[in-house]
Amino acid sequence: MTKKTNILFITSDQQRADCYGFEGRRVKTPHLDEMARFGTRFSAAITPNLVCQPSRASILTGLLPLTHGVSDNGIDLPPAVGAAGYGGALSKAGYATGLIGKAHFNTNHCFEPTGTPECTVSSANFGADWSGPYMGIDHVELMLEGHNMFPPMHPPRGGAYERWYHADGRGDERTELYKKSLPPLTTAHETFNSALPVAWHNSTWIGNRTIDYLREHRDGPFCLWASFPDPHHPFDAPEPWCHLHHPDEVELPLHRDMDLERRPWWHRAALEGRPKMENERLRAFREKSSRTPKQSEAQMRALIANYYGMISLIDHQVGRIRIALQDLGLAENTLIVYSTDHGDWLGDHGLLLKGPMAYEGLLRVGMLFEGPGVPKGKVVADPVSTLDLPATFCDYAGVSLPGKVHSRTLKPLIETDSAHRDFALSEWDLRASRCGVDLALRTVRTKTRKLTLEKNSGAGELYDLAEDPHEMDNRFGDPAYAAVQRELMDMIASRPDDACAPLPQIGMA
Amino acid sequence: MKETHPVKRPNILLITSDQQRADCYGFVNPALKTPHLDRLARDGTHFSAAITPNLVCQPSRASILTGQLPLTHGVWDNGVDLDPKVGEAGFAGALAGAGYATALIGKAHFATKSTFEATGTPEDRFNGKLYDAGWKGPYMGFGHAELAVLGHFSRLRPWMKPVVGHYERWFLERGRDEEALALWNAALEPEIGAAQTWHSALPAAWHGSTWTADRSIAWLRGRDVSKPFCMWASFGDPHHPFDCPAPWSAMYRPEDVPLPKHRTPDLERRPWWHKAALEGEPQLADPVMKRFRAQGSRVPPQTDEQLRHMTANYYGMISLLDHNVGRMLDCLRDLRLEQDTLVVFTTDHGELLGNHGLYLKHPIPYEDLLRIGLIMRGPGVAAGGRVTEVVSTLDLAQTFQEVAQVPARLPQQGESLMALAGGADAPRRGAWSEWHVHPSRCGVALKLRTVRTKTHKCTFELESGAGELYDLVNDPEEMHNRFDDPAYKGVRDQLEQMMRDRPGAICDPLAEPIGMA
Repeated sequence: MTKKTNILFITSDQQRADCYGFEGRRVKTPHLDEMARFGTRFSAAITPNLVCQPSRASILTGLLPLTHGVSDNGIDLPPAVGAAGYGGALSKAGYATGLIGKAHFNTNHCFEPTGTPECTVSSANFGADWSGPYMGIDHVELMLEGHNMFPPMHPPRGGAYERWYHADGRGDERTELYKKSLPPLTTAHETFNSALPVAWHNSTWIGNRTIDYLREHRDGPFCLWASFPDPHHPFDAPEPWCHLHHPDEVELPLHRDMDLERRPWWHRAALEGRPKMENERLRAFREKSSRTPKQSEAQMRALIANYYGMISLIDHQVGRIRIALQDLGLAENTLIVYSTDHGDWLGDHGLLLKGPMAYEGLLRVGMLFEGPGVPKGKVVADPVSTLDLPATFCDYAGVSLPGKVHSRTLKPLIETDSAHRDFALSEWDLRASRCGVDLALRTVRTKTRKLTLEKNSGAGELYDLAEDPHEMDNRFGDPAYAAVQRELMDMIASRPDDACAPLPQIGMA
Repeated sequence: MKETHPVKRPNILLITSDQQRADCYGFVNPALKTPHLDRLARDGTHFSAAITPNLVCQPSRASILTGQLPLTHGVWDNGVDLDPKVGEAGFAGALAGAGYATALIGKAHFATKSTFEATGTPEDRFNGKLYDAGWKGPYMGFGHAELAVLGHFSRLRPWMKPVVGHYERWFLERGRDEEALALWNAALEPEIGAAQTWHSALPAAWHGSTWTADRSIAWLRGRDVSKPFCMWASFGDPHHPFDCPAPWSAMYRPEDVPLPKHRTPDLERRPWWHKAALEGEPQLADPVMKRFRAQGSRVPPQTDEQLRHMTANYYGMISLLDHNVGRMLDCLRDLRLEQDTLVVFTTDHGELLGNHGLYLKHPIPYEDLLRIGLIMRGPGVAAGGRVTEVVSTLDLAQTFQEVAQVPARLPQQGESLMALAGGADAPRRGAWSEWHVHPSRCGVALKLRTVRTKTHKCTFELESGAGELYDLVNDPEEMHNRFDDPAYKGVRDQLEQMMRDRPGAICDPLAEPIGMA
């Protein structure tokens, strides 16, 4: 009997597709570059949604957001839908399944306790020994507050990471170090060089726990998701990674001025609309986080250098994990996949972080494969989606995802030159709690074009990425693009009519 | 194996660096960041006047293992191998014989790597076949060994194939076509001419400090839990070349590091052999080794800017090392071994780092080189303690044997540090350091004997009768040699008596070197 292929899935959070060394920007990712040289990467992969929770639920379930129901952050994934995802399918097929780090299938910051292990309040009800199963995955070691917007919470709240952080009673000492800004000081938005020793950084913890998991499961088969919460804002790279890229040497966005006059109406609404929320504190929080202040060139450079540093720290963990696979004799029989949940505007068009504007910086994601049967140095330019990952994992494991899913295996595109894809979809329903008005955004991405339709108003934007890679000219409604627009609208309309009834929004994110 | 000891014996984790100055710890030097060593010192006891029994690697490492002074264990200079019969009777062999699981990970340097001809030791550059066969110990009493034989690479010395050393083999397998070696050699920032100094493009995940911690953690997690353990995790940094990898190389800005106050050569104030050590022609037959000895171990005068670059790079290596120490300490914590493990951090010797215009190491026992950091933490060790008595890394073997309740197999010249570590008032007379320097180093044989007390240090060159005596209280920067000063005759006589009182027998004859280092 041949040995089943192990699957090691590594993700970052909010990493732009062009922020890899091999994409030409001066971000230092020697290990991901090596992975690309030894494997196959997709240069036009997108995310099925522009924020965390919906896209992560799609990666787990193989369903588009309106079908699994997590159409925005703050909506919990129904447990039965989650359990039917790739984790459940592989567990049933005899795989040891695991997840280490940020899950975000359920909401962390909820209006009322929800009873899930990811709800900050309810997490206290799960004992120190709880490690799953969760959403079909046998073993989880969760990190609830990976971005450090709030310090890691004290037990009994929190997941495995927070318990580790506080286990010796010195978590608060670590938090004080974390908050300390090291020179050169900057006034860039949510940016500081953190004095937290990197051995205690959560990227290191995920690297360590992943290596331990591999050691414990070397007899296989296993499917592990190692989920890093960086380079998500705040831009808080720890020393010495914050010093790796000098601000003078990073690339600035070519078009970094706000250009709302060129864009459909909802861009302005997203930035200026008043969120509809009862709770004034939460409303103010949401309003503030959608209005990032304009950055000077120096601020932008400092922010980008810090962002690059966080990426390089994850790259270092990828290097350590790949080495562990090799040293344990697992490399020959393990498929490694690297991707992320979505990107970051990082200054494009005067925007920072993320929101309902599907520019390439946010929509497009990196996706790399390395392992048995994966061609070396191959680049696939067909449009695909992280939605396709669960079907791909199952294909490599020789099982199928149960039920009718949208996910389609990428194995033929990896292994042959005859398989092709024409388009990939992304979708996001925003309730008025975001920008004061409901938005129903539907995006299609082909190899060379992209169209986003706001279904409620019929407005849209269409970019010709071959002619206009920086997305400066909206061709929606342009007679010269009428045929193209029709074709792209048909692609959007081809989405299966299987959306579920709207689920309640029970929190913020 | 059944537990036969009535009292639970602690685990022992000895962590060493290579060539780390005693003042290069964050808790004594605010320009440097070593958060994990700082914390170890806060939770344990710092010995602020610890010295090394010898100023270079091989003799001092053999002393740590055996608890004997160099002229007793026989490794009187680099290039002389430790007799395995002696080495195997060191603390590791004693503890292994009493039921400890023992391991050595990283740089050993009990035997010579740059041998003139094959010696058959696991560190001999001609012995690559041993590694082809999957050798992993035992070595010098340690049941398990994974060695970094070079520890630090040299741009001047080509690699011999098949390669010797677990780390070196692993290193060459990284990437494609010995990519790691090319990256290590490549500089990320322009080199400004600082000696042996560059920002190495080697990814930190492939660096020896990372490897040493990773392999140590793997051994700790996979060890036989029915036994107490004794592990020596031995890092090869911050030894030169100053080849710190990114991003650690970017951590210190040259303009922010302190420079020594007296950084110009002052040979006219010093005994004759200082000059000989710096300028004498090495007596070596092999032209490659001779070139290495003449160029690799001597540094031309550096400008302030060059010294700043060198120092910033050296600091970066220390912070990288500290990070990996932190990872190992976290592993102890995660395995719930913190309470039952005696942790010791120290080094083999210091680094001159520009003081008196000198670099690296020479047979010149300034405090820069002689004094070393020593931190202990664990059962029986006071938290937040500071010991100012003069002790030596020579004392470690007996310390380990005492806590493990195992009799020493060799006559010991060191004493257990546990009483001092526990906060007891246990005054010491001082400590000895000694080095018979082979002419291969500076063209002339030297017989150096140093004694160090709380207040003074005196070095005697026995062949010529010359010497140097420093009053460390009134002249901490060692600017005034009081050896022939009539006002210090009484002190000198006392120190000379202490030198003569050196404990233990001296090997006679001493073995000839079989290689260079």
